[in-house]
Amino acid sequence: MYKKIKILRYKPGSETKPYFESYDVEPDGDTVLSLLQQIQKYIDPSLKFDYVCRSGVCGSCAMLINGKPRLACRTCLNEVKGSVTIAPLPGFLMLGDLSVDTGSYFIKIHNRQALNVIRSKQQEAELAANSNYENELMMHLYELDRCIECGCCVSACATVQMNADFAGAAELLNAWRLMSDPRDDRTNKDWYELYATDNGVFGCTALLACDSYCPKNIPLASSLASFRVALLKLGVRL
Amino acid sequence: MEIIYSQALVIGGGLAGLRAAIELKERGLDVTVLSLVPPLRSHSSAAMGGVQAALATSCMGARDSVALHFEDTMKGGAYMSDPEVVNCFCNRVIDSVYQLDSWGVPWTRITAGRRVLSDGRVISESFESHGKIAARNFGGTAQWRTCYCSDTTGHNMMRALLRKAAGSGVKIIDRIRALSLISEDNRCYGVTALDLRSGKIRVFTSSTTLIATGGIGRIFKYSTNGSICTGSGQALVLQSPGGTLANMEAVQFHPTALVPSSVLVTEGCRGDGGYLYNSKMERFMEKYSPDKKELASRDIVSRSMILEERIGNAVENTWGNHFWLDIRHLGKEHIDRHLREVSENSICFAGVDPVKDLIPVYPAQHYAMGGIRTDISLSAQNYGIAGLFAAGESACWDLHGFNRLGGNSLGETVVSGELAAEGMCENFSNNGYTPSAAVITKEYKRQCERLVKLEEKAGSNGVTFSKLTFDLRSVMSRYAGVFRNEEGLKLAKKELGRILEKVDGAVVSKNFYSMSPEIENALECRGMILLAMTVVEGALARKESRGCHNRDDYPDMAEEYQKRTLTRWNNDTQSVMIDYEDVSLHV
Ligand SMILES: Cc1cc2nc3c(=O)[nH]c(=O)nc-3n(C[C@H](O)[C@H](O)[C@H](O)COP(=O)(O)OP(=O)(O)OC[C@H]3O[C@@H](n4cnc5c(N)ncnc54)[C@H](O)[C@@H]3O)c2cc1C
Ligand code: SF4
Ligand code: SF4
Ligand code: FES
Repeated sequence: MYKKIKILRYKPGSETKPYFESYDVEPDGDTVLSLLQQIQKYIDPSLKFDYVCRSGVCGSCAMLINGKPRLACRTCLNEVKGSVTIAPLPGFLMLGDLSVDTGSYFIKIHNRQALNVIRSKQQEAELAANSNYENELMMHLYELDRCIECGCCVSACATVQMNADFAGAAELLNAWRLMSDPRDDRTNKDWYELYATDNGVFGCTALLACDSYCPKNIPLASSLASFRVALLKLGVRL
Repeated sequence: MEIIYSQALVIGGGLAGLRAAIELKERGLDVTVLSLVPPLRSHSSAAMGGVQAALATSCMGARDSVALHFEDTMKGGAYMSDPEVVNCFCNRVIDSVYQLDSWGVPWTRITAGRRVLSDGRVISESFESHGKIAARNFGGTAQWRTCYCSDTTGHNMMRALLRKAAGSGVKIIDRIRALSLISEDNRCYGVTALDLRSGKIRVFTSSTTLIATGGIGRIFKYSTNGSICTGSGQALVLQSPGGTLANMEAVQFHPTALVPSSVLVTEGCRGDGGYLYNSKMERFMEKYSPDKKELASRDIVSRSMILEERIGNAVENTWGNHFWLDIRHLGKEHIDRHLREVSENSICFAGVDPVKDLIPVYPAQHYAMGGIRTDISLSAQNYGIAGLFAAGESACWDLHGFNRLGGNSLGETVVSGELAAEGMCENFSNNGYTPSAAVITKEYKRQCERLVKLEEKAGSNGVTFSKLTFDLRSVMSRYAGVFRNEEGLKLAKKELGRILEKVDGAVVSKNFYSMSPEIENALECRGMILLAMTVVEGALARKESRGCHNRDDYPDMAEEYQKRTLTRWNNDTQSVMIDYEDVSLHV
């Protein structure tokens, strides 16, 4: 059974504008990623798309599949009936065909949140020597640490698309994860100043598109809500 | 030609590369990390199981010690590891685990009280241990020693290091592929690289350089490794004058890779009580390892599968032969809670639901014990190239010998990364930076010309690089797999020779653009062939079976081969040169 697949092609730096190209492929795998690999192998080896782990853990292969942000390696063909249309994830710099620059986006988040917290080796050793935490707390942090930085939540968010300065779900999640960690040196005040703003938690319209599209099923809705409440409470005290 | 100079240059943004970069920065060097992909995409993120470290916190690890970890590692490696390295590692990895804790890794913790294990045993964690870092059981260890974060340990370590690197101000440049070492008189001065955003060749010079580019899995057709694990750093070194690789024939195969995608099915399935069946639905491991059965070590299970296949007991399928892994009896609740990834992967890649179906599995390449030969300070100076260091899976300071203990390589990434950085700081202060401009220009021009040549010939008739890569991978999985023999390895050698002859004339398709994946493959194809040749030549010369190197024709261990294999590339004769080095048995 042949599958019809339409892919947005784009060569950065060339004169040609992005355009859709159609392919007919007889699938020999079960995922959208395997379709792309087949095209690369048998039809057009120059087709550019990102993948590393092919098992939903590295966050490379997010793209718009029939209009929805999804991981290509985690989208089974039997979930996409009929023909498939694939475009690069919106909201990020396009690097060619289906490849987008999620890397720079997420590095900027880590840089923004870094806040020059430097510990001496001795402080580090002290912290290590007193390593005693409830497993429940660690599992909570673990749950919030599962983000693979794929960008699906960012491209699903209408607020980000309208206001490029809005932090986005992944950044807020990461802030909440760090704020919840007793081992972290950044203070409540730091977080308040960074995110109790209109580009932070108050910019979020809580429509929760992010939550529906996170391929890791991270509880974005409840995490963002908890973060907002925590900052609101801080605002009263600060 | 723009030259970007950094005091220290790190190639690779996986765990080893990031750990080194953090240390270099904190010791005051200005450091640049080059990575093919955004760091979090590195294959380190796919590691699930955990890190071996003798913290001796759990009641099941109460008697644990550095000495026991040492013994397990030496034994696992068939007594081929460097004991001094193993000793250093087993000590340092304990501090590393606690350091990672202080950097925010959410290690699973001990909860005091009684707990029933899946095999029915009851254990009781003490009150004092409550809240300490927990350890789980892993194959081949005397005590429970594997620290973990649920089932995504590598991912959580990567996240912590990435945040730490950002906090320390490490400069990371992603989407860039190192192409060659810039070297003069056996000293390395940096690399040339292809910028995958602009398609241009760039030059990065440095006073001291680290290679941390991960494993070689993708020179095999069947591998659990990610698509970017092609051994490109090892190939850079091999193609640089003097560059020396060690123990390349020592390759680990994992018995339970999904068929046909080779995605890893975690050891946890067998650990939790899963069964393996052959085509007759017999639990064949009862035959090969009556005591441990499915819980026997990776290499034993892999070998048993191939032996079963030889007597016609593999399940035949259009995608290739396989065996069945059965975890149905563990129940839906257990699978959903503890083996979620297995469930998702099986459904997505094999169309089977482990709650009610059998999972098709077959051995696939998993880990390379061999790599860039360094001494205990991770320096390659005594092995042909000064100013060059290596860490992580791409290095062979020889922690793993001829078989890696599960859970020792994540630990190795951070320990070797930190140690390499210490060595690099020393190297930096001892060495002036004085490459001649001519050397840099020559290497830059050589790489530019390669690109021009590819473009000129794009779309013309001839064998393609992707065909050659495909052939090379097939040869490797066929002849350099779990079992090897003289006949097969000689055939492989001949085939690889033929592929090498064709590579200079190979072409890319007409749709040329320099940052396309096709061009990346074209540029690294030759290196992959040479790497494959070191594996095959090493295996051919080693007329014995040891650790995970199994020769049908030499089934026993031979004392005369208790030596480390060193391989170099001879550009004049276009062949691999083999040497041996003694291994010591005591610290
Ligand atoms: C599925 C799987 C599960 C595993 N589970 C465990 C486990 O539970 N416990 C354990 O101890 N070990 C495990 N391992 C092994 C372990 O994960 C790896 O050995 C380890 O993560 C390697 O880390 P690294 O930093 O050396 O390399 P990697 O993480 O592979 O990083 C390599 C880096 O180099 C970069 N790079 C590569 N080539 C170039 C180039 N030419 N130019 C620029 N950059 C380049 C890449 O972008 C990447 O950033 C597992 C391995 C696999 C495949
Ligand atoms: S809730 Fe809506 S506005 Fe807020 S981050 Fe999610 S998608 Fe964006
Ligand atoms: S929160 Fe989910 S959707 Fe957003 S980047 Fe992380 S993994 Fe992707
Ligand atoms: S390839 Fe890694 S998430 Fe899809």
